[in-house]
Amino acid sequence: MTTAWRLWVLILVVLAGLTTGFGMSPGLGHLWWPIAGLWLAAGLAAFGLSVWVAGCLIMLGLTMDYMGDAPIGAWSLALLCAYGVALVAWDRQPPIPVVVAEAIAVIGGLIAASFALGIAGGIAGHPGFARAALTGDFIITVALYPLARFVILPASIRIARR
Amino acid sequence: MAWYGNRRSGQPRPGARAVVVGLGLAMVGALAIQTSTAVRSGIETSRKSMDGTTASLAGVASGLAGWSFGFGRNAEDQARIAELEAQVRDLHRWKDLAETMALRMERYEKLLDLVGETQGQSVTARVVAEENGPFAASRIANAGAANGVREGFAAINEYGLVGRVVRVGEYTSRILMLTDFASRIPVLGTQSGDRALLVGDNGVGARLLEPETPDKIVPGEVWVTSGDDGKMPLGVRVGTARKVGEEWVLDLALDAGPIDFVRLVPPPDFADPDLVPPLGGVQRNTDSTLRTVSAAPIAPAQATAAPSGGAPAAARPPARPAGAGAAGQGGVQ
Repeated sequence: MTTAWRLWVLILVVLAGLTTGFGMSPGLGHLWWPIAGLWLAAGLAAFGLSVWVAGCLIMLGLTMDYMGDAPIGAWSLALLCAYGVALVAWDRQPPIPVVVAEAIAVIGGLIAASFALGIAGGIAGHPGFARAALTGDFIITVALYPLARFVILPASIRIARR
Repeated sequence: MAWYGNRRSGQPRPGARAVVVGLGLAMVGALAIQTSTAVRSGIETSRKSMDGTTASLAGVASGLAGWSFGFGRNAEDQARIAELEAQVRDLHRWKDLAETMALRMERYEKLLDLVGETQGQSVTARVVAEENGPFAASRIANAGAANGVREGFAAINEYGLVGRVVRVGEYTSRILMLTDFASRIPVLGTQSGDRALLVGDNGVGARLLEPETPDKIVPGEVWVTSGDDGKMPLGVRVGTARKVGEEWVLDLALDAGPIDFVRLVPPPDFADPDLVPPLGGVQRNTDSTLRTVSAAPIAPAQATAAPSGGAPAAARPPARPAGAGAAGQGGVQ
């Protein structure tokens, strides 16, 4: 891992935090808003397993927990689960087409994150979990991922992967 | 060689895997210890300070967007300003009328010797961030402890009740919406007079829990706060009733428009019974006075009957025991 790459991941995490913050602006709360952390979990897995990425996702998750008044660790766990599923998708042997790997990484990651959030709420003793509130956000996250991937994944890695 | 490094993915990295799995387990552990109230109260402190950061972050992000998307809105803004100015003029007339009515009501209350609910100073604040996530439906307002806001204040806007303040930072306060799971507000039907508990329903609405007389509820009936919990002001509009299946839900008044400004209203200021001075110098009961009352012999009715025979003896008060206090009410309190 080069310093430049680590810096790039850090910048992406800050951008994801800002995206989440912008989604909390007055008047936007009821709109479907993408969960930028899941883009990162799905896209950054293409670089392979990285403790730096996992650490950054945890920090982003903690920020999201505080912003969304969620149990501390819930979003971190969700992003880690999504990252794990995406790693499996990207590192499948024999290799599968990039598009299929990305689709599995994103959709599988969302499903894993959804389960992880529900379980996290249960573990922390939270009174409830509104899955309906997440559905729209998940849909818009998937819909916008084809655009976000051009920021997260440089062309070099898309060529190098396959 | 790509700029992100020369390691090919797919190579086994047991150390890194162990670290990532360990991080995941650490998160599970962090979640598990939050079942402890001591840990939760510890986290609350950091949440209070983070609410301010969240509000700033939302402000920065929306400011950036406003800078980039705000071109070409001058005509629209002018129209909006003109509309608001007209509303302000209209509201001034209503304000004068309300002040007159308040004066009249004050006089009526004095005439009737009515003990009203005294209301503390409310604070008007702007909503700077909103959250409709899987775990909470809340808003952050830009007034906090420094502005006199405290936990438990009701949040009200021009349409009705929005929620209540559940966490107060120095300059921010988090408002739990009526739609949140954890929201519990006692409410009252204005036509049926029925009382119920309004509970948040999955972040999308609110339903009436255990109404006393559900058969009397009228569809479209306006429901207001009952103030039974002593924390909410009485009579704040909450919503209108609608039957869904076997249960009643409320179409919330807060959905009538955007929530941009809220008034944070303190709970009604009821006097603490312990702080109220005793009436007319009546002495409090003690063990000895109670014993004196119970030990005092009851005088026979014939002995206390008036010779004129006006009122029957049974309707008269019993003889005052010696040493029962100056006002003689010690035994019945």
